[in-house]
Amino acid sequence: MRRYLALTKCAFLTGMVWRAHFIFTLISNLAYIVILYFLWKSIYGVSQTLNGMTFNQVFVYMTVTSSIFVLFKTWLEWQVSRDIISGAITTQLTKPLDHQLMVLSHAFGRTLNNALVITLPALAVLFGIFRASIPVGWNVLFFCLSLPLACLLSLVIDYIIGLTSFYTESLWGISTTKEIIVLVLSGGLVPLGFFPEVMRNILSYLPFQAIYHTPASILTDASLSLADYTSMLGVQAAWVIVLLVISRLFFSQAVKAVTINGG
Amino acid sequence: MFANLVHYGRLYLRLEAQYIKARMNYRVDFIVSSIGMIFSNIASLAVFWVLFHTIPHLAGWTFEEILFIYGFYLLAVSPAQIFFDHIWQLRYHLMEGTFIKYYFRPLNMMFYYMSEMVDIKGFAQVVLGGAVIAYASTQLGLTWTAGRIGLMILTLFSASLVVIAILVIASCAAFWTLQSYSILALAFRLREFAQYPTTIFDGFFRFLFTYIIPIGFIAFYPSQLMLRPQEASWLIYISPVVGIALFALAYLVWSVGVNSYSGTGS
Repeated sequence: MRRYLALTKCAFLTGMVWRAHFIFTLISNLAYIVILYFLWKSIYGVSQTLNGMTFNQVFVYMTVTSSIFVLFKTWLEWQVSRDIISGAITTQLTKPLDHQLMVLSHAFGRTLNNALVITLPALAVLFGIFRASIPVGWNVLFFCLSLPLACLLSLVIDYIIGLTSFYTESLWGISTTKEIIVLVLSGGLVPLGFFPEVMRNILSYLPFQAIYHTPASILTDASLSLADYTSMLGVQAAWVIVLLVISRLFFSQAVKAVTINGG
Repeated sequence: MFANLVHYGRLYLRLEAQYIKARMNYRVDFIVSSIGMIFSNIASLAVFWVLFHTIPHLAGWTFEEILFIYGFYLLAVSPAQIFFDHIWQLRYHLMEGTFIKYYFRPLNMMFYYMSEMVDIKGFAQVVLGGAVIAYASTQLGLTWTAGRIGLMILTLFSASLVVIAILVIASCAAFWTLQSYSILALAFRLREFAQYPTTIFDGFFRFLFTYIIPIGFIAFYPSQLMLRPQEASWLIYISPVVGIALFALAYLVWSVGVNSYSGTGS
């Protein structure tokens, strides 16, 4: 365990070097919150609630999802892909460490960077400047529990995407497609409550809603009971396990296909 | 001047023909990236589609009109995507010193630098943008008279210059900081403001996106002129000037940057 924590710490410290990067990413995230504010303001117009959500709820929901998006952006799949294509993976495989845990703990360090420098300031702006409010109660606790699960789920999906580099070098297209599918189908661009009924039903059987929709709706919806919260977390945990198993099977298959140019 | 243009035009076609031939060796990559490109644009369409299930109009604009604005936006951002994609590599060239080679050809440096790459997946975006415009204008009953087509070409030309200028200026930050990725990503994100009616923003931001970072000129003001000419402000008539002036500014920033770069010493 300590070996993996060292990787996390290393990634965190390396990340802190790029201060200018964080400032601009922060500005860009804040700019996005501004769009969200005006866009949803004009969508609501004079209406009090749409699809059972108030303006305030939607605004908090969207800000949370967009901040989570930045939070989980660790470029993990690019790292994995670079290692595979350059051949660096061969030395990694000789280390007495599990490849997946190694990659995940590294990416987790990046997430801590993001949290500290991007997500927390964004939330400060949300509650400080836009005066958004959330119900305070069990939901905050469960939000804090569901966030790490969502993070793990997102990182595992990225890991699977990164592994496709064993077979193809066109990661840009695959990664972009994945990002968009996840964003749309998980409520990252529009709250899932706005989707037509049929689609919402289908989406509830897919893993994606557990990434953005679950934490965001836990935080904004105070009407849920404890049983609802636990079952939502249960669904998240189940998806994490399923995808972990898939990714490990995929890795053990893919690693046999490794071909590295020269050396 | 004219002979010069012809010379550069010919050169460009020749360079790109070679480049595309080389890229086409990776056919799967081209297909996969095009799919990614189309997906990332369809996402915005999906968002509008879902939203208009709940609301009849957005800031007074109907679904079809919003589609038109979005189609215009796609076409306006495409030239930057296709012909100026090399800006994303500028920071690597500067950091590793490979940028030096661009000083040694009897060619305009911006031309030579940008001509080294064409983003072929950007053509997928053009096709999608055209299809969206065609669909929206049929639904809206818009007739394409010669005058309107002329207007469309003129406004699209200046809109794409605005996009190119904003991205080039952002990438030029690398001349001084060597790290322009995040600035460029910010500019790239600001671009997204252009797909919504500028009128959804109030006071300060509307002013900002009209006069300071003229994002409204990318899609909204031109579309307003095409769809609701009676509502269009006088601003749109100066839009060709805005595009050209902003591009001139970007070129100036680029030239200053190029002249101040001192290499890596190796």
